[in-house]
Parts: sequence; structure tokens; C-alpha cells
Amino acid sequence: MASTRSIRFRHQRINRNGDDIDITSLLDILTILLVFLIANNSFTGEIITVIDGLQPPQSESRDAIQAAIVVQMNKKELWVEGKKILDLGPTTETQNGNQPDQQSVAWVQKSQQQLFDQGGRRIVGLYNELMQVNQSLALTEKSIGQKSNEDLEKKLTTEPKRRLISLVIDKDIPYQMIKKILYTAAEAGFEEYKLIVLGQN
Amino acid sequence: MFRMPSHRSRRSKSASEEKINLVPMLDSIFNFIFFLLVSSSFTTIKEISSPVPILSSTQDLQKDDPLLLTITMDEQKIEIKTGLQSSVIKSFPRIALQPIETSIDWKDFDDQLTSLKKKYPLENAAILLPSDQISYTDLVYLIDHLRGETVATSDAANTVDQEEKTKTSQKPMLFHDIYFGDIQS
Repeated sequence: MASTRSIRFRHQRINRNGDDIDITSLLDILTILLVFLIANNSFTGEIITVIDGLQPPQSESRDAIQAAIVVQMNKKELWVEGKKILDLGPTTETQNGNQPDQQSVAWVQKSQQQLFDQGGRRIVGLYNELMQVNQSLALTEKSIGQKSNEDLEKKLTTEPKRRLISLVIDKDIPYQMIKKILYTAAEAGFEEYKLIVLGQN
Repeated sequence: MFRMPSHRSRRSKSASEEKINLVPMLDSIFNFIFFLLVSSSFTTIKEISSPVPILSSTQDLQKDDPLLLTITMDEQKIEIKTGLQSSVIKSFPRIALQPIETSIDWKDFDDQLTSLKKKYPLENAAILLPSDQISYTDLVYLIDHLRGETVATSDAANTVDQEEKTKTSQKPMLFHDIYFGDIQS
């Protein structure tokens, strides 16, 4: 019987104790992966954390997103800058089962009468929150102006910055509801809407 | 006398050759890949701008024959209207129970918009009047066609002159200022 010490198995002995693993091919793969990731990475810097149950529509728009106040709406909730403002309707699914949450329904039914004003065109909670955001923005601009030179203060007071609002809305929301958000934002002093969509990859 | 070196001596010579130590480089690439994977997002987020419509009592005297492109959309049809009288240029009946992509002849719709753009090359505004039950997806799909995102670049490029092309080099070539005309109602 052939022993492993024989000339026949010499090459196996050498490989067994060889500690030089050739990592060149691994390095090649990683470099290609690195190039792919860098090429596909977006460095725009604007990040939007989308709330649960919200899927924006697909679009072929090529415009990169700009910094703005973010309003998000899924089928039952309305959020402004990461803060839940309203629950717009009863949910058909709950954490425990298929029965709607009775407390949630009651809350919504109670609030439906107080949800809109101006003939159902304006969402009261959203308007109040946007007005607060608008005022805090104005105060921030003013304080920056006071800390900076007089020219900048004059510029800020005479040429107010355009108020932009980013609307992240679920793809199934009807226009009837979108119209209320648009009207409320316009009433609160916002001058341009930014409809946030999913671009083509 | 010349003698060929044995296999053993040749092997020992190659083993003694110095190799570049790739391990630190591998470490740094691993760290970089980890950072990129954590920080990257694989969904592309884009935006569609729409200025808030402002009511004005003053008339634009410079324009004798304004385009005033208005698009109405409901469950039955999509209509292209123009002018102060909102005359219907073309009506596109929607096929019932069909998704928006196949509900009308979008090629014909794009052709109509392209011909209007050729006639009014400096006009960029379009007023949108959707009905209440139109979903947001359908609305965005219509806006894409209005802005010319779906029109082939060569077709759209022919509709504007060079000056306009340089002004809107990053923008779509059809009607990119979309106004929601009925938010007051």
C-alpha cells in the first residue's frame, strides 16, 4: 500500500502545509463589486424615510429631489416631517386579527366632523402643523439674518425663500384626497409642490 | 558539465520569490464595500415639480392667441383642450377596466402634444383637471406624458429651438410646468 511519504504523494504534502492562499482572484471580484457599487450609488444627500404602508407611484421623471418639508400620506395616516398628524380612516387589518380596531374607528368617526373645514377643502390638522413649520422656518431665517450682516438680513426679509413641500403619497390615493392636501399646503403659504415618485432604475 | 536543475531546486527558488502582500488592500476594500452597501439605496427617488396656481386679475396682453393647454381626465375619457374657450382638440375614450397604460392610445396622445409644442414652442405650462376618483398612479402616468418624459428624445428635441434647448437641457421637452387647476373647488 502506497504511503503518503512516497514520491507519488509529495505534491499533496507540499499543498497541505502551504499557507499561501492565492487571493488575487478574490481581490478582482471585490474590485468589480466596488466599481459597481460606486457607479450605482447616489450622492444627492436627500433621504426620505417612507412610512409603513406607503408605496409611491412609478414615474419616468429625471429630476433629483430637493430639500423640502415632507408630507406623507398612506391609506389611513398623514405625517408631516416624521410626525403623525392624522388617522384618516379605519383600517381593515389589525395586529390581532381581521376585525377593525374599534377604538380606532370610533376615534376616526369622532374626528371626521372636525377633520376638514372651509367646505371640506382644508385639512385642519395638516394646516395647523404646516403653519407651525412655516413659522419656525421664518424664525430660523430671521435669526440667521440677525447673526449675519445687514445685507443678508435685508435680502431675507425682502426676498423670502420659496417654500417647497414634498408630497409622498400612496399610489392608490384618489385625487379627491390629494386635492385637499394641495389646497391646505397652498393655504399654509407653500408655493411649490414636489410630487415624490419612484424613478426608473 | 552543464546539468538541468532538478524540480526540487526550481520549486524552492519560486517559493522564495517575494509576493506583494494583498491582505491589507483586501481589508480596506472589504470595509469600503461594507460602507457602500450600508449607505446605498437601491430605489431611485425622483420628483415632479408643480407650482401652486395663483389667481390673477391682470391679463397677459402680449399673447393674442394663448395656448392655455388644459387636460381633463375622468374614468371615461381624457381630453386635450386649448384656448380661452377650452375647445376640445381631441378626446381619448378610455377602455373600461384597463390599466392606465393600455386604456388609451398614448402614442396618439403624445403626437397631439408634440404638434401643439411645435406650434407653441415657448409654452411650457399645462393645466390638469382630473376627476375626484382618479388614482395617484394614473395621475402621475398622465403627468409623465404631459412633460414629455415618455416621448423619444429626437421627437421632442425637434419641437424646440436651440435657445430653449440650452435653457432646459436637464428638463423634459414638452409641457413641464404642470398646474393643478381645481384645487380651490
